Amino acid sequence: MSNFWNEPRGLKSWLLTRDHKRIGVMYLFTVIVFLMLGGAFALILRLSLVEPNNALVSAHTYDRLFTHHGITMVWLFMIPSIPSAFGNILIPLMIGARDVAFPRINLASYYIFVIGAITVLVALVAGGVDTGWTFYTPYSAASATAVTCAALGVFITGISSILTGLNFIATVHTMRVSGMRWRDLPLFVWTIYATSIILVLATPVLGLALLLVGADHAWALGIFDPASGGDPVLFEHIFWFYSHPAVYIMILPGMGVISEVVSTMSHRKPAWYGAIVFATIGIALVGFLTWGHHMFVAGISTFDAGLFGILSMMVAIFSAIKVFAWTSTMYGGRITISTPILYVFTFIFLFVFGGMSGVAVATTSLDVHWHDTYFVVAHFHFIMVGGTLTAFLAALHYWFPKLTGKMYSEVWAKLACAAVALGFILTFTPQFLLGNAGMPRRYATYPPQYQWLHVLSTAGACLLALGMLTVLLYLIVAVFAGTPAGDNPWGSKSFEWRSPSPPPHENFPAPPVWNTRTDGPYAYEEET
Amino acid sequence: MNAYLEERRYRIAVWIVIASEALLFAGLFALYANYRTEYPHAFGEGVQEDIQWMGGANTFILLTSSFMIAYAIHLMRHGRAAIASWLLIGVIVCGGAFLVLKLAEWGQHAHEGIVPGIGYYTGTFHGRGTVLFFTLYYLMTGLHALHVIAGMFLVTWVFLRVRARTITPERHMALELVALYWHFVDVVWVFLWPMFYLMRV
Amino acid sequence: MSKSPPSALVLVLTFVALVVLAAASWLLSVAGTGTGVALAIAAAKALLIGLFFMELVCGHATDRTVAAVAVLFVVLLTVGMLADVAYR
Repeated sequence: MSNFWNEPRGLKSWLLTRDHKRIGVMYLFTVIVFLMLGGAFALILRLSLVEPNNALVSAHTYDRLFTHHGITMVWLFMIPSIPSAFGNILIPLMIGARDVAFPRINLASYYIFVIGAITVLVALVAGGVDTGWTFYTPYSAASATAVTCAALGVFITGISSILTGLNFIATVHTMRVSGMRWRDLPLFVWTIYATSIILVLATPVLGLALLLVGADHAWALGIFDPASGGDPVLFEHIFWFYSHPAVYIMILPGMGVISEVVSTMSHRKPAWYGAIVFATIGIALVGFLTWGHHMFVAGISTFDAGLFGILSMMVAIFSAIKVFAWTSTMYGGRITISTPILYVFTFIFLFVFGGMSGVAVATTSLDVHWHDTYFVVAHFHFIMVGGTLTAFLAALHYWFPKLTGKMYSEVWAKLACAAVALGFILTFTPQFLLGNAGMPRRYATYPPQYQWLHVLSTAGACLLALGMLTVLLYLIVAVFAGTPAGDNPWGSKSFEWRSPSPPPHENFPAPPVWNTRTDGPYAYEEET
Repeated sequence: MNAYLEERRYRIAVWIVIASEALLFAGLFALYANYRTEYPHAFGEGVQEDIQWMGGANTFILLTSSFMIAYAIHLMRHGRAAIASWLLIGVIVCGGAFLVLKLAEWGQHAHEGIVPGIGYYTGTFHGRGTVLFFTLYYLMTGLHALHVIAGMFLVTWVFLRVRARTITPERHMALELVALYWHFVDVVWVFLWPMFYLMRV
Repeated sequence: MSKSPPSALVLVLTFVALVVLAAASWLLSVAGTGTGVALAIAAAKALLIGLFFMELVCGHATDRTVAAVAVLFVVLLTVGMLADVAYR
């Protein structure tokens, strides 16, 4: 059966491909490798924290481990994961296009990403960086570690991000199938579009921040060095102007996945489609107004801190709209209890708690106590792991039959989902308690009274790791020996399911004729 | 895919590139504004140290080059490809002149001991604010100069294509898109000029 | 193009306006005043270049939106930082 995997044939046809599906798959494999690397760093960190005096790693190694855990997870997994992998595979299929707007730039973005990632790995091998993933000055200028190399690597991956975002925006604007208006777009496409806006506007600011760190490290410019009259807080402004919207790059595509899975598994059109679109764009834009909440205790003016605190609360409104819309879509419906929907339930549960803890830390007066403690660590892991990673797993399981034409073992999948969910909760709930009790983040050792919470957290991390490995294993098995699933095992009306699974090389032999108004991506039969 | 959509595709892409580049400079503009707020007097002094005639000449050069490339497109639309190509040479010459003046100015500053990084501490340099001013000066004019160089490569590329007649009065989108980039480079300088040469107080 | 592109006359006038504005801001600086005015003049010049040389005046709404958002965000970062530094 001819499909994009085997047509055209040969290694060269893969390395020089312009097929968005192949590029997406290459991204998918690559980010999974980095997920495992980042996870390995995390596991070592957690294991070392079982003992208060940390017999496992030295303090310096500990610093480098959490730095590279952050760098690897943020830039080599989270940012590219859903957009560059699933976005690439699905956007053209969802809008009836042959490919993205600029297929060669798409391929270039992948290779640029790989070059950047390798550069970061070179920094790791050269001894690693110990500044934290945030590269704060003036320490990043002074640290005797491979700062410039790591900053350069991340800078290069940033170029890849911008090219990806640019491609998606141009694609959605100009390559929708005839008759498909903006209001007919699947919600996943909307979230990738909004993410792309953030990618092209925020990433350059990170680029500058990293250039300045590199220049400062290499040439002692002292731009942020108090000894030269510089102000380190200004670096934080520039850095967080990107890094806060970056978290919306990480969550918005995940929300798009959730919307798709919810609709398909409930066999219902999304409740409040317009509100979800509004919330999507709202998150992307308002997300740019909130960066100062990372700097409440850095020495910014009280005026600025108050301003950012209020603005940060506003973003929660949009997230809430989405959560209510998803639950409203599912309420009273006949839901297919499959692995993807189980990940959706996990997502909604953990995202709500993570989001509420976000509103909590956005409250300036409270954050003064929680900043730089495990409370913040727990908050963002609830969103990033409980949110994005869970959505990534949902996407993997939901579109697995689309990509392979096969189905994985439901038994193992549900077991692994339980392990991931429970493992996550056990890892990070104790961290809220740790932080609230005063345990600082980035510390290799700690007073004995915190030990029991650390032990619980590490036990959870082991369970989480086990669950993730299980997912990897049965998915690999299913690729080769899974039961044939047919073209549309979920009975989805979404456009990507209206072609064979796996899709053919050219997506659609002729431009598809879709009646997007009466037979759109959510045109499920109304239940009585 | 019809021609209109194809043009929209490329035009949106180039505007997004320009927006991205603007955001790349954003942090530097913000740093200038903030450090100037902290050290208003030192920044004013720094402005006075900069070489006025060079800044003014560079401004005039870039404005002229922007006009030339805009007029070249106008001519191209009216079938005057040959004259348009001469204007493109003019743009490249302007870019080159800009860079020569910029390098000369840097050289002059270096001669006076104003060299970023280690140089500041051995030079005749006074005032931490002035140090920051000149660090920003080098960073911003340097980053801008890199963009001028990139722009010159692009303009040279379209010039060669005009000569090879792969850019014609009927199909000259590449020229229009490169011109957008060149105008952006001019716009950045439009702000750098007052920041580093005019704002004395 | 949704409307017709700028004519040769418009291009020439724009160039003249740019040079005049540049001269004005130079004169003001020599006179020792006009820091804020210099920036305002720069903004006016940028607007002229954007509207007439970059043809935003007759272009697609999407292009104008991208340009406007880019400018807005540069201002946003600067103002957000100033809200800190200026009020410490």
